[in-house]
Amino acid sequence: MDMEVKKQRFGSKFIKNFWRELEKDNLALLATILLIVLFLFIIIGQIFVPTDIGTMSNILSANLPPLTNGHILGTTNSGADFVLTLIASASNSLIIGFGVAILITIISVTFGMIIGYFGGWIDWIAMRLIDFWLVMPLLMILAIIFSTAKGLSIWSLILILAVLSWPPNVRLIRTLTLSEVNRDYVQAAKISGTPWYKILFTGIFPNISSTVISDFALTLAGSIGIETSLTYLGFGLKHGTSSLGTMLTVLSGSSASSVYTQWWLWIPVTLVLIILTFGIVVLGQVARRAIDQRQSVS
Amino acid sequence: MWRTILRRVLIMIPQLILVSILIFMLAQLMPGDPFYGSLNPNSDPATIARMRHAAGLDLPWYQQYVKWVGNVLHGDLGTSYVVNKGWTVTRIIGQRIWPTLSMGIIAAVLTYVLSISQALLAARNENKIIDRILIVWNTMTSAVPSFVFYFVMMVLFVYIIPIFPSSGTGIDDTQSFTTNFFSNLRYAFLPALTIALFSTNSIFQYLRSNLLDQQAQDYVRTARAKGVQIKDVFRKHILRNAFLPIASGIGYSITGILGGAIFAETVFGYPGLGALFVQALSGRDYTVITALMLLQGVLALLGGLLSDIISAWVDPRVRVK
Repeated sequence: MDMEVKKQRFGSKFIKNFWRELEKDNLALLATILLIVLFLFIIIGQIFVPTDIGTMSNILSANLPPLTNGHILGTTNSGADFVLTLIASASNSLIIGFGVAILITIISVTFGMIIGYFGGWIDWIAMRLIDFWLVMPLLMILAIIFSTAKGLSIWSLILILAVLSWPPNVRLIRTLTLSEVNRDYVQAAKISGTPWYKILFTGIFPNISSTVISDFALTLAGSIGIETSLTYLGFGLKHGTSSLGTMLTVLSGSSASSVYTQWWLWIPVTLVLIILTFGIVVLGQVARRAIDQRQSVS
Repeated sequence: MWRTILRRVLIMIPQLILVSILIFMLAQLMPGDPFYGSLNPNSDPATIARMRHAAGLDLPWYQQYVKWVGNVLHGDLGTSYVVNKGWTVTRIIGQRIWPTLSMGIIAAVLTYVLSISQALLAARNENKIIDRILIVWNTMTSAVPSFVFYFVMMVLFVYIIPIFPSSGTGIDDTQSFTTNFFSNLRYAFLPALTIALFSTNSIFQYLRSNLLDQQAQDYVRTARAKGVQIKDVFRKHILRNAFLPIASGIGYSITGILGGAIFAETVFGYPGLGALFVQALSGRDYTVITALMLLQGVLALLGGLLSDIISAWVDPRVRVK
């Protein structure tokens, strides 16, 4: 009973702080509104998206220009409605982004805090491995793995991306943990015999949570970026699963002038991609300030 | 100083071995073998087996690895089977490396010029409208995948306002060096400028907060109290201190040349190493892919080495005793 009251108070305080931050920052407010509209559009749009949108081929109505036969933005080269394809692609990209970001956050918080807390040889080995991995060309390695796999499902894509791109996040959490470990409250908890996992998750974690939130947002936007970049080059998702990147692939192969005359093929996709990634990063910064009031702009 | 460099070079040896093992593993992961491209349904299985045996592909993996490393050390990277059929990989890379290098160098210089000037402008006008705009701009360019912006730039400056050529490198073997140089400049400038324009974020954020930190230091207050003009304090003290950490990043811009080129070259149709990588990957030309990965791995290690040397050179505190 007591716990519930406390939790609720924290939640409402967060929302209040969040709202106050938005009122101070017009750009963040705009980004939030655009992002909410986009999310609603994608979620409600799901109802109208046919399940076979990726695999259908309707040559008779392919490549229609906008505003013909009731297709607001025309049709794709397989004859599917462009707006519906865009909704399906955006939701696929979002699922991939959230999947990767959630996995990476879980990995980085767990390992980063353990490495930072215990230090010693575990820390040494982990840091050498992470430093080594950070200089490796991640994008090229991912492109090779994706191209040898010849088309992946969304879930295997999420898994590969998460497994190969956690090192910078773990390093960040480790650094944060290191700066907390020597604080008095941790020392006091250690001396009074609190088990290490309790110190980590009830003591240190709340103190680094504001950075975890903004890091989550950055990772989310970054994962969407990596996924769309690679699928744009034509590596990654299997045929029939579209993402914002595969929708832009149409342009790299076709004759270059069509890029400019057929604006509807790329401007809407580009706008959705910009709003998504930029909005997520801005929102992450606002959430960080709302949790950590010391960083709030006055 | 020399001991620092020596120590750092020695660290590179295990790193290089790790990189080569990693690349060898990736190469083994790729289905098929180097003869994959030269086969047809009528190939005689016995001939294939003989070719495989001659190339040592029936050996256990560790012997293959040693053989591969030996070949690489002798400059033998194999033969391309798809992109330029029959050419040695060294010849292809030798031809393609110049456009990428010229674009990469222009891009790196422009990135530094743009991000440093943006950071100076923002730090001198802290919390004013120009500062806010620059922060938002840099947040946006780092959040949105860069190929989207490349696209917009290409449409703008190749089709809508046609001041730059659309595709190619402007390099032709029949032309003299100077003609090649200037014609390549015309082709390389737009991709290079575009890369620079949208990759200012990390240097900008870092330098801006460094400048603001330094402005709040005691020595600035002392200088101001003595009556030194703020612009002199800025030029002589703040800038020097704030630039130190930035200088070490120069090494890493070498690392980024090839990786950054992949998207720019693909979007702008500029046939350098980045475009070669995509071409080889789509055509499954494994010898070329392996060679490019190796090149990138070596570049990454060299970039790290250069960065560490520069930071030890500009900041004596970093040097090991």
